[in-house]
Amino acid sequence: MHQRQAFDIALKELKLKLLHMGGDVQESIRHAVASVLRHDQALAQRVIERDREINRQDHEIEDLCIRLIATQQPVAGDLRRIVAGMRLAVDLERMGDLAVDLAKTSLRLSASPVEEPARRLQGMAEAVDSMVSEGLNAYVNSDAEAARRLAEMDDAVDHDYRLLVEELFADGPDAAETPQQRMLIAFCGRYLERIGDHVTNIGESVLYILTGERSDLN
Amino acid sequence: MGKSMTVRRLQAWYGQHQVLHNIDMDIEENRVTAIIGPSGCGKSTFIRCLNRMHETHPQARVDGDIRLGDESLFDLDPVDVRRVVGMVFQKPNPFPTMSIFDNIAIGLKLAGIRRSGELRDRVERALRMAALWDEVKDRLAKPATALSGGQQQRLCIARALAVEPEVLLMDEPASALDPISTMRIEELIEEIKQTYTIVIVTHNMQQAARIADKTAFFYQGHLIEMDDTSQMFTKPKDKRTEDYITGRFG
Repeated sequence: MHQRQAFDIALKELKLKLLHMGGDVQESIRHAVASVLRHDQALAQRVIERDREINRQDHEIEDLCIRLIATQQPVAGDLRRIVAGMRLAVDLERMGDLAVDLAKTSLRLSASPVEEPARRLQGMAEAVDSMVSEGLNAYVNSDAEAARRLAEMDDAVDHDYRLLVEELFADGPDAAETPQQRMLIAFCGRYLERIGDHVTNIGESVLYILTGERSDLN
Repeated sequence: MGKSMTVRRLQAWYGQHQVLHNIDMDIEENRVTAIIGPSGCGKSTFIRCLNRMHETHPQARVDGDIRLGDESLFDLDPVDVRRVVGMVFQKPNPFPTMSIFDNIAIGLKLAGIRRSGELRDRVERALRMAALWDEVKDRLAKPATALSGGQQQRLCIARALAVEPEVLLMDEPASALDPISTMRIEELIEEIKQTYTIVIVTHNMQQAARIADKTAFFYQGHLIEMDDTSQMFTKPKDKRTEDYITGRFG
């Protein structure tokens, strides 16, 4: 096989691995959010266990990128795809960790479930889920516009997070929830907000692949 | 110190066949400029124009201007041009019947240096500059052909440096050498660029990326793109450059 063809196949393999990992991370985030909203301990446990598989995918992608750098000595667009691929895997892995943080917080909350404040997270979680979809689509379709849109979407998530925290602590000492419950809900908001930040990193990596320019979407 | 070269509207022909089309290029002094491109793109013809060697071909013709510093090469005697713009070729080509010493001394003698003391000093200085002195100082009278391929190439570089040129042209100087000898040539280029302006033709992309400050991509006789090497190898502007350096053609 021509060396360039073999390299192209390896680059496609890298893309597929990243998409697979992206899909798994998105599912973990969805399950983690569902475990918070539905007080589902089994689901939270599954998210925690699944993180090992996400970490393995990260290492596998890193190994592939290192092998391609060592054996193909990539330049220009190829080099950008590989370097950005490594960064994408790191961001996805961190998003997976944040899903685990959500799941662990869900387990702590399930001891004394709170209905109303948890529901406040739902809109924010949906916005973050849309961001994850948009980020992965931007990568699959090499869509610079979709990548740039992530900045606005992240602003909206940040706004939701500020509102959530303000509402949680506006009621003062007479609120129905304990301070610890309110703090845990705020943590969940914080984890979702951080996931949004990592998705903007994905957008930045996509723009770097496409243009070679560095951008700041966050 | 090396001098800059300025190329304007350079065109070159072999008979009816035009091999270079309107090349404009600024070659900065004391920098390494790499010329890359697929076989037949005109890169060797281009550097052969830079010391007026192209014109030695019976059917060759050149148009346009090349300036070394402020002077047009075409206002100078071609022999003088080749002294100030030296050339090292792909295959080491020491004079086979001459000793190591005489291979360097011959150019100096032709330049009018006769005193043996000065000749010895200049030969030693050139060999030191080419990082060859320690390896040959005890066998200067031995034939140059007794040296390894890598040593012979450094001898040719020493020969070119002995006459103290402003610019050194190198046409794939390491393509016939093993990796260790290649590394020594690359280290040497890095060192001597403090003193000389260097233009190197190479087929080895990684070599260009390692040693060149500027890289120029030639294709079908045209200069497609020239930029800082780091820019060329991470973010080339022209799709043809990208396709060539990523191995999609050539």
